[in-house]
Amino acid sequence: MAMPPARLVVLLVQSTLHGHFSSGIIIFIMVKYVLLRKVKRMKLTREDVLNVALLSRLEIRDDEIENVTRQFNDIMQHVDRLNQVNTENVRPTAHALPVCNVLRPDVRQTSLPREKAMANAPLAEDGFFRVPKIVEG
Amino acid sequence: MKYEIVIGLEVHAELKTNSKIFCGCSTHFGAEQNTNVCPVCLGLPGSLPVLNQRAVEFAIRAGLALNCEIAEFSKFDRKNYYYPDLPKDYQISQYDLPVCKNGYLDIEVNGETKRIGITRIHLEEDAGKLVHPQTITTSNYAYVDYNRTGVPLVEIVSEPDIRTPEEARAYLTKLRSILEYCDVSDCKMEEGSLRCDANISLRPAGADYFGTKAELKNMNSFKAVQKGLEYEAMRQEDVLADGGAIRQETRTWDEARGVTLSMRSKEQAHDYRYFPDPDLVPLLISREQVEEVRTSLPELPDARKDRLVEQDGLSSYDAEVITASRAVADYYDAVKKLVDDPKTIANWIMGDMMKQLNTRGLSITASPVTPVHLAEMIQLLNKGTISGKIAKNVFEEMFVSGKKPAEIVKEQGLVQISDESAIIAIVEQVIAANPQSVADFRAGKEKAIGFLVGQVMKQSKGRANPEMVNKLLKERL
Repeated sequence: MAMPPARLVVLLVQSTLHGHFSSGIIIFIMVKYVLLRKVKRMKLTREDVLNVALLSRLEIRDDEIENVTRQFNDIMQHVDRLNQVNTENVRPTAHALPVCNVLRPDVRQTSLPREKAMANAPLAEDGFFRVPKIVEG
Repeated sequence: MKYEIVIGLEVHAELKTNSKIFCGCSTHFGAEQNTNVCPVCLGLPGSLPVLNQRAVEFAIRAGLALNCEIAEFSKFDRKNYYYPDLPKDYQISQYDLPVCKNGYLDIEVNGETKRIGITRIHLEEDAGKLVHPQTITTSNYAYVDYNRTGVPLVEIVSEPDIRTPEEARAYLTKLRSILEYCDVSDCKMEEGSLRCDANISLRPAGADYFGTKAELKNMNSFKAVQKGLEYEAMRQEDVLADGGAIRQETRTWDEARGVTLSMRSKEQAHDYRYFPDPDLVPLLISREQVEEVRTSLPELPDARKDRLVEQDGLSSYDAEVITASRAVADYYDAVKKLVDDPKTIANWIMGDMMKQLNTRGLSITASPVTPVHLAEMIQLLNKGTISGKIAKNVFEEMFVSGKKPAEIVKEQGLVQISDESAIIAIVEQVIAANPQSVADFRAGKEKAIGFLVGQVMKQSKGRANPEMVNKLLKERL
């Protein structure tokens, strides 16, 4: 999986802006997962992949793990290359677009009718969404 | 070993905007479940959040009131975690560039002033409300109401400067007071518009490092925060004294049992993976805007307290009680405009007024006794028209009926009797009817006069001027 760094950034921005979370977010997660640890990057292991999968609530089959681990490492290599760019005088990017202060006045607007709001709820009762047990007792 | 307690508090306050932080849904408390929701706050695909400008203004206002630096450049980030009260699976919050940082507030505990640092104040969206059919640990399922999802919050994070549960309570009381003064939050713990989580750890007294902390949740009142922290400090001390180690974990305060319990979440991997929210553009806060907000700030509790001490001559304690709530302080000022008798006003507010309000569960703004009525009553008292004892009855009557004090005094014939001849008549009657007490007094039992004064007051239905009764009785004994 060879992808030049510039292409990776474009993918990141595009995928998040357009709501293709699965690709954009997982790359974010991987990059954050490695970079936040502030250690010299070791080769990502099977356990790292499983942990990222858990954090992302993605199911990766046993027979996929090896391939996904290799792809992760490929992508992280590109991140390593990005890290070599001198960014000393570059302000961290808070947003891809050169726009600030998009605000709305504090005015109420009509909400959704409850039937519509709950139309896709797998479980519901008395106007509440119903969810399984949360905390282990 | 002697341990020192280290406490840091995280307070979430809902901002009293009309609409939510990123959409136009109402923030009204108590609406029917899942009726104040829309595609944005439910996180439905394709919806986009737009920041509420008043929420930003309120955060700046709170920041200035808490002596913070206001950021010139701020942004919003996604905090990723899975919990059913969070429909998007991420909360829009602020990570490294909060709106406010480096502030403080001063608390007073046991007569000493202490400064508690405020690390940061950031804006974020509230989560929904989970309703457990039984308790959080025993229910097999939970109900979710997303009305609260997206209500604007400020999270106010203190430095770990707090050293006792009592200081924690004082900090919360002061913080609530300041937020209430600057009119950014209702601060009602019972409605969840003010919530507090506490980080607490122990370390050997004098150590310069921190021990492992536990995070305490689900304390529903300031008193519960104090009690929960007291229990947790004790628990940690026991663990450490036995040579054990504190586990870094979240614990819940069980009010009924008076203990903290470990909360094991099914989400084991705690990694919030913050990243800038691409749906929201950064926020630039101009210095002009900051100054504009600064000039709109009202007089804050500390300044107001100082004014009441220095200009009105109230004691520090009285001034503290009066200024703890802005509504009470406003009431005090309104009465004082009409009758310049600060100490008497303070006494009536702190005594009879608070008692009546508490019994009836009213706030002072809903008091049937208006500042005008209280001022008139104090004038009647100062003129000697009514006695202090009668005034208490008049106050109660005003509270019940909402009538003016002069009207009540007239209707019930409560005017104080200061006419000497009228009092003499009663005094002589009492002396004649109580020869034993008179004899006791003359034999040197000073206390007997108290009984005689009481009899005169009783006969006059409390209306006789007590000083004159004393004087006239003594003259005749």
